[in-house]
Amino acid sequence: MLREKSLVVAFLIQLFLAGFSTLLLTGLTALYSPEAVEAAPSATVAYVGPGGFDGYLERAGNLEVEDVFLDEGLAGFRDGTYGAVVQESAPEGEVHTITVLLPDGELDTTLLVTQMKSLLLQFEQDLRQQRSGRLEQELYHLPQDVPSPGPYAFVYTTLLPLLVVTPVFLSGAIAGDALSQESRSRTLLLLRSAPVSPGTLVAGKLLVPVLLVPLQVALWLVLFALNGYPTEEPVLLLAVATLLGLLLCGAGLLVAAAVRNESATQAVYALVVLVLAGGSLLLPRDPLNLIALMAVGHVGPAAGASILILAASSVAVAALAAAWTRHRIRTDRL
Amino acid sequence: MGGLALARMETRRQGRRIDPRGMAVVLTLGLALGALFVLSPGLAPDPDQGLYSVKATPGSPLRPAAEQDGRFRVLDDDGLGLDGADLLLRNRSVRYDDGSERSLAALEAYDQALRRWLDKRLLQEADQAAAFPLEITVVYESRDMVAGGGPEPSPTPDPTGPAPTGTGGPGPTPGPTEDLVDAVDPAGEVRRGLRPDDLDPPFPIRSLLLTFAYVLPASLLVQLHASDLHAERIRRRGVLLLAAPLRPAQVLGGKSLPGLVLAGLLAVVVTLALGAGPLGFLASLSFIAFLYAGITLLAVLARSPRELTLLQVAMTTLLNVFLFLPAMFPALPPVAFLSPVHVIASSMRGDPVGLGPFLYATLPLTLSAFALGALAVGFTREEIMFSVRGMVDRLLDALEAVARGRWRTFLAGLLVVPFVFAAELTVLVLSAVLGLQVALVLFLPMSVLVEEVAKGLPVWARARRPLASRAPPWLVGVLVGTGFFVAEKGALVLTLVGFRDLPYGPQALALLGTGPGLALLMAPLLVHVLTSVAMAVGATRGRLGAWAGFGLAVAAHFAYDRILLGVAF
Repeated sequence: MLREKSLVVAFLIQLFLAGFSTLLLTGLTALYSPEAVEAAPSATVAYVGPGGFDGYLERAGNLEVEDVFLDEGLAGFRDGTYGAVVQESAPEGEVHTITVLLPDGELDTTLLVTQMKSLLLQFEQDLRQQRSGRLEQELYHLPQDVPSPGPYAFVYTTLLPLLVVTPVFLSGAIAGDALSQESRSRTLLLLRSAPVSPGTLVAGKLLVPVLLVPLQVALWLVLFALNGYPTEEPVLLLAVATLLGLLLCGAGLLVAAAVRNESATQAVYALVVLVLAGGSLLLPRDPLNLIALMAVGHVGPAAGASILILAASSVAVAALAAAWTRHRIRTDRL
Repeated sequence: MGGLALARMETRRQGRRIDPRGMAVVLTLGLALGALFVLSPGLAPDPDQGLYSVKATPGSPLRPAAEQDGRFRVLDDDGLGLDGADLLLRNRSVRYDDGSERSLAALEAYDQALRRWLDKRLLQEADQAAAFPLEITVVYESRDMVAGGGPEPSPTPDPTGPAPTGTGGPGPTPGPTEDLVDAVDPAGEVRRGLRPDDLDPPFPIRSLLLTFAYVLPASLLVQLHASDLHAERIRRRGVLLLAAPLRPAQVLGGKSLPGLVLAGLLAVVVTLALGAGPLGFLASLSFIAFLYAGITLLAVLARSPRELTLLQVAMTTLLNVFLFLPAMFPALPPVAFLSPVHVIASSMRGDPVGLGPFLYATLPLTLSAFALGALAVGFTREEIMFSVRGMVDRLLDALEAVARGRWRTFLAGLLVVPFVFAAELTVLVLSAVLGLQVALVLFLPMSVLVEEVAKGLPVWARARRPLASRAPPWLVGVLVGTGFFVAEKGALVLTLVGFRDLPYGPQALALLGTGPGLALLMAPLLVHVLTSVAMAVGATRGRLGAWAGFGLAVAAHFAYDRILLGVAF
């Protein structure tokens, strides 16, 4: 019952994705702390104004500040002397306006923006503090030197859930494809003459792709654990992934049995998956969030409710798919 | 106008084939999807809900910020310290565990939540100048650093306030009290009235996910088209078409045109819906064209529907990875702009995209699309389509069929370059990001091999029919090598993207034939021509000769590159 070629391709695709994701995991520091890539771009900033923000710019180790007039600043910016121009207007007691001019499309630009953002945040905080007498609300803020957490949030909330959902999607596609292929090449009719009941036939078509899901997800989880991102509730996660697999394989089977045309099956399956994905957002905890929560070990009542709903719908869809496909095979309409 | 007539026929035929039941199903599904998103506008995946656990004393003023942010599960302080929670808010202090990455992530999230909560409270203050004392404007301007010329001529500024300079005529530079914004020629939107928090280079997940809106309909359409085309081959219906007085290009073009036009129209609709602008639309066309050309080629190649499905899945996955992976690094333009998706995402956000980066993102895919399309046309020949020979044989035969004639041989040399570049650039840029010094050492032999194989393809293809060709081997080599060289010069566009600023950027550019000095520019011509000629001559001497020629070419190219890196750096 194992469709070798599609399995091989599915595995190869995921191996390829695994390779890239390893690159991603190690390269993510570039995304999360751009300073780490180029050890903070050293730049000279032209400052135009009465003073204020330039103090903050000067305190940044990699930036040099020069106090200039606007025309000098612009000229220097345009011939490359200055990496940025900052103009400040600071009417006493009123709103300070700061205009920042940055070069378009250069490598350092985004890095500078990120750095300036934290400096500006600090400036705003201090200004507020100075004017706190005029405010009723008490001001609270965390100190600026909190250490950077790395890509933790990205890994658990985006990368891991997407990589768990991929084998689920692929398994559904394989299930549907297998059925439509056999339907078209009429081998189903041949199989009917074998001493295998249609029920067993259908069970095999449904369950084999489903069983692939926990295998592949387990591999992903191991890969992540080896990279320092362990999963807290692996058993629950594998169970939920399998349930999702059951749901999509059932859907794939239904689509294949209904459409019976190989390529149209794939197209309609994709659409169905989209609709299911949209519908899943109505759950108390959507599937991606669910996976993240199980990975970090924070499964609460809302998550539990979602899992139950998911389980119920998966079993229902799979049962429906199995029953209907069996009926179609029995009546030789497949 | 045979091709157009065919296109019209095809449209009519497809129209008749539309199964009303099938259409009804698709429409219902589409409407269901649309209804979902219209009726619940806040519906979006929220992957970090309930992620962090926070313990807080009931009266702590820091508690509301955590309670109002869905990312935190707030529990009462049980007096046991942190003990398993990620953060502890005790009255006015925040405690975290700096050995735990999760605690640090929670801290960063809480920092953000606290700021947001405070901002919301401060909106109700009477004295807004004290509550929000800072207003920021960000403006970008292009500066032409490559030319290294003097300052750009600035446009005549309109004076905003009283300008005490009192200069007579419109001077080339603004007076000292001018507004910075008015004195520059902004690229892209000027963003005013920002607060520091708005300065985030936003993590583009939302924009990336939205670009799926381009990819998905195009994939569906092209899948239908490919299976249709494929079925005609498998069931031999296509034979009748081949017997018609139409050139293969017209046959394939005519059959593909309706689908392509439809894909283009869909892209327009998506562009309008997402607000991606003309740049975004053009960028999307580049990968839609690539997808179409590539999958059409697969349809003409594959020997069974199963093979077609597998190849399609593989190609779409690879294309998607190539599209989305570079866009995940928006902080590094040379990396991000490898992907046209980044152009679309930037367009949607109103970020400026210069001509250089735009070309950098779209040209490789567009040229590759042409190449793949040409190859598909080469395959649309009776003797190739229905032959039972192996893949490589048929590939070379198809290439030979298209590359007949001197002009076309030159073009063949030209059109393999985008693939070479795509392969080389992806590896190079990713390794530059990871800072692997060893990458350059590995990159060198790999790039040599890739380039020589790419040049070898048209050469070996031509060599398969030595009697049919009137061009001597050395001419074939010259044509292919020159074509390759010309396309390689297109790499000049890389310098516009700031490629030089990446680690090992200059070295890589030199290897790709771009750099200062005429010698560096013209020397590759010699190398490419000589290596191609070597391979062409070798190919005429049978299999052993072909291998010898290839080996010689690789060795020569490798030596040249080593010398280049040794001398120039």
